[in-house]
Amino acid sequence: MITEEVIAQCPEGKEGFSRRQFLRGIAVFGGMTILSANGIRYSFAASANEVPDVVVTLVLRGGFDGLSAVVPTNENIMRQARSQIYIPNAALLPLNREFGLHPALNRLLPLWENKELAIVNTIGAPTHSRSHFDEISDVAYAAYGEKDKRSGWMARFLDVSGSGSIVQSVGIGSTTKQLVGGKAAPVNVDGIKNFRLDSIYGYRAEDLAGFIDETHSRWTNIWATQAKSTIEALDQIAKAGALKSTVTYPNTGTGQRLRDVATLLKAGIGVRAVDVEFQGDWDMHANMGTLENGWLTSYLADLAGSIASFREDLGVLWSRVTVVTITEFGRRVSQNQSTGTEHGWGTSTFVAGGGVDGGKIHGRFPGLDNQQLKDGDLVVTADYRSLLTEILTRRAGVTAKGAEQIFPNFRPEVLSVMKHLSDTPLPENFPENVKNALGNVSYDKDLLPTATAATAPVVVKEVKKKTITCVKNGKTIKVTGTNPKCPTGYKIKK
Amino acid sequence: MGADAWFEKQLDYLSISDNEVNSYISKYDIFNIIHKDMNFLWPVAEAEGDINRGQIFQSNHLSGRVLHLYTLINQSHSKRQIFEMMVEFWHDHFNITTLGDETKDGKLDWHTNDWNKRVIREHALTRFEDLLQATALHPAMIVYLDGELSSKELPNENYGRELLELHTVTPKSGYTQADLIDAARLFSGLRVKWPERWYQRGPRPRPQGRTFIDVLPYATLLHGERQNYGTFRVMGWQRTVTSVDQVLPAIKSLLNYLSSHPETAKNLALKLGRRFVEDVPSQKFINDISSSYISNGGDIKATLKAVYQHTDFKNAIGKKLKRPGEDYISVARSLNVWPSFTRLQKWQGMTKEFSFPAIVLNELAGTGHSPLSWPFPDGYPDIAKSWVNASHQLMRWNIYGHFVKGNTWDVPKWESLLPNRETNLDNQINQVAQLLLFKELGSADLTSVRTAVTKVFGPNPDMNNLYRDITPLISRLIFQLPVWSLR
Repeated sequence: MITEEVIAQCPEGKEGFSRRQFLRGIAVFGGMTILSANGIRYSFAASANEVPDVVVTLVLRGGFDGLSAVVPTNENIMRQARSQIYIPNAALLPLNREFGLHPALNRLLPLWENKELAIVNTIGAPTHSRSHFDEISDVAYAAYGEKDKRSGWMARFLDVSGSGSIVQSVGIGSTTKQLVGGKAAPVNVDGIKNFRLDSIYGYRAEDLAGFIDETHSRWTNIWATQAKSTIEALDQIAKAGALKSTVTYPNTGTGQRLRDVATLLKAGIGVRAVDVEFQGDWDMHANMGTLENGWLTSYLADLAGSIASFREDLGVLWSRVTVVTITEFGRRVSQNQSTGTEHGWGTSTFVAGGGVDGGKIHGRFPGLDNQQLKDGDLVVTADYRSLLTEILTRRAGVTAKGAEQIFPNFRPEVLSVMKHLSDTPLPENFPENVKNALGNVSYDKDLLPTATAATAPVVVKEVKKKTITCVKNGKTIKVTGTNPKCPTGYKIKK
Repeated sequence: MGADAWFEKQLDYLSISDNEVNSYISKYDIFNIIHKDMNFLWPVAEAEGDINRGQIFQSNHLSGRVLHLYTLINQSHSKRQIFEMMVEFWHDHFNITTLGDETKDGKLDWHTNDWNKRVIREHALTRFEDLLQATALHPAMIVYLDGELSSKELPNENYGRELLELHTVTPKSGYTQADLIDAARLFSGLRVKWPERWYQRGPRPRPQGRTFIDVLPYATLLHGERQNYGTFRVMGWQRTVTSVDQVLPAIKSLLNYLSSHPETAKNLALKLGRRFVEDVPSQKFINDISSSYISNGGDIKATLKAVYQHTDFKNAIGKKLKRPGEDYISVARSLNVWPSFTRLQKWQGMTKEFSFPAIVLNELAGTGHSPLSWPFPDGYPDIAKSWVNASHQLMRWNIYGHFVKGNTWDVPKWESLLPNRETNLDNQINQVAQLLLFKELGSADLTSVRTAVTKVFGPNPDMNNLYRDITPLISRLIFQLPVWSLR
């Protein structure tokens, strides 16, 4: 009805098309935003044989200070660089000889000991602009060197995987928009309890749902087709929401978001990717707080507690979930004058889940000596896309070719943070409904990236702004730019 | 008035008075900032005394929010419907983002209202070349597509790219990276002419140099030292520029060339077809409309007339799914309701309190389709599948309920909307259908609605309650029908 092209994509009458596959096209997004792929993209599950992971990105917006979370035990250097905010070795939870965990992250320790949590050093984007605006968008687009930055990597992942599902949990809509790009405009509702149909004038919601189902069954356009699956999604999510979790989460936005995600994963509605935005801003330029309390400590406790509760809540499902933290950049090694830190570059990343080669710090730490830093920042030794590529290929059924489409102009290095899907058999008590909803992916180790580790990520393009000071007859001005020059008559002040 | 006469009258939009909208707008002080450029806004902002606390227009996106409301009121109540549709069309075509993170740290906020007035509304029904030129030289576009970051050595390619890719010829024309760079180089000297106080307080130093030429006296200048000179080649166009006073003529010449390019004509024909006819317009439609565009020298009214007269347009009824914003305003229009100004809201960061129906804008924003808020330069998507998903659908369904109950907009005045005092339920249902759909319901839909109403009010509803709850429920159900979702 809408157009022939769209009609042609309608699944009606297609052989082998089942209700179940159709529902896989419903995506659940948001804080929660429920975004489906129109109910028309459905998985072309190959003849293959592995149940893939659900990929959960936990976005730490504002710039996450890896050095405060995974702390180098080189206390002298840390004290020099951060006299007011360094964390003494005595307070750290030991990880290995070189690093300890911030004490507020203690709820992550059991995961570490169980080898379900890995740390990767030193992750970052190929660009070093230190700009929130540039970086968080670019990280979501993940299409460096491409002129068309209108779709995010997560949208491309779903395209490549043939899955129509995506769950996002975001506090700020812009991140969502960038992740999915021009694919579709996401909508937020704040939690699954608000994903419901209102009753009206004594006409009950379930009757209205029946009315919608009945009246839309008379049509075959994509709106009407979607309506049927939306009604079904309402039903499923309502049922999922009614499954009361007994696990205690931190009483924070992030905790509640992850609780919602766990609920949806347990309900088995075919969600393949989740984007959760940590509620709160990690951009700690001033007053980070103390070891005992304050901004940083409370955020770290929230982060660790939310992940730990999520893991506990998921139970056996955890074997098919990978959680990875994402941020736009790390922070400057040296503190500033306001007990905070400035924007930096590389940072530590957490990866947790059933398929993680855990209990290890992967990657390469570039060192804290001045000559090892770049303008005072930790150097990125592993591109975040390498890590994502590994998660998508080893755990989510994407082939090397597919990864090239998701991350264009990029040659990933193998970090070996993730175990192969085929090396982690599905537990016998894995719930049948979730297994069916996730479907199967073809999986062939030989088709995955095998490039040896490069020593440094390929820097596609470095956009860096400098500020110089120029003087003329005692008058001082500042000029900022990629290649700043003093105006005529002015001299640069060294 | 017949349809043809109505259409002709619509094109002559200035002859249509818009008293209702104008008197509504004039009632509220907040609309004073509408249609104002930064030279007006800056002193207002300073007078509020908050400029050091983050510059009110920026931190709260006040100008964007007021512009959204202004747009919404016009879309739902203006008598100049074709004009308003074209205003929306051009805002999509020349997208700038007026809310949130993509407003260049709020720097765009100073220009959005002036952009709406002097660029889009002023030129919506003129010639495409005039419109294109207005967009190219306006500070909103300069800020949005990073013209301010452009320099002689490193011309920012953003505007050059979107000019070719989105605004005019599209990649189908086969332009090369060299074309794009020459276009970017030609525009490298354009700068926003910020108020003197902006440089003192603002984040950027005053541009240094000797040669400044006013492009728009109030807003844009040409920075002679940042400008590139020499020979520029863009596709088949070529021009040598040796001095600063030759730059603007060269820009105009390039825009003239691009405006009359056949691929630009096809691009516009495709987009007009997609907006007014169907998601995938026929090749014949694109050919017909683009030749009409060319033969009329890019005249927008003449091109629209060709669309209106095209067979595909005549057969277009029911082929387009309404986008969420269109759905939203069509509900408001059919119920003849206005945003409720009853709640006084204190605007954070402002010293003065003023009433503002934020709830309406928030509701619309919830659908993902606020005016001028798409975060990418390509404008809101205009095909059904971009908008069809569970979240959107549910949001839209629930919003129908808010409207009939008057939760966010005024409560509908049912008795004046529906003059016949019906005593028969079916007749009342069809009276509402006539109001909303301009036709009676099919028998299956009629039965569904009747069954739903009698489920709540019993087989013989008390028709004395007709306007208290029976009619709102009927309306809610009719909005809910698939036929309402289509245009």
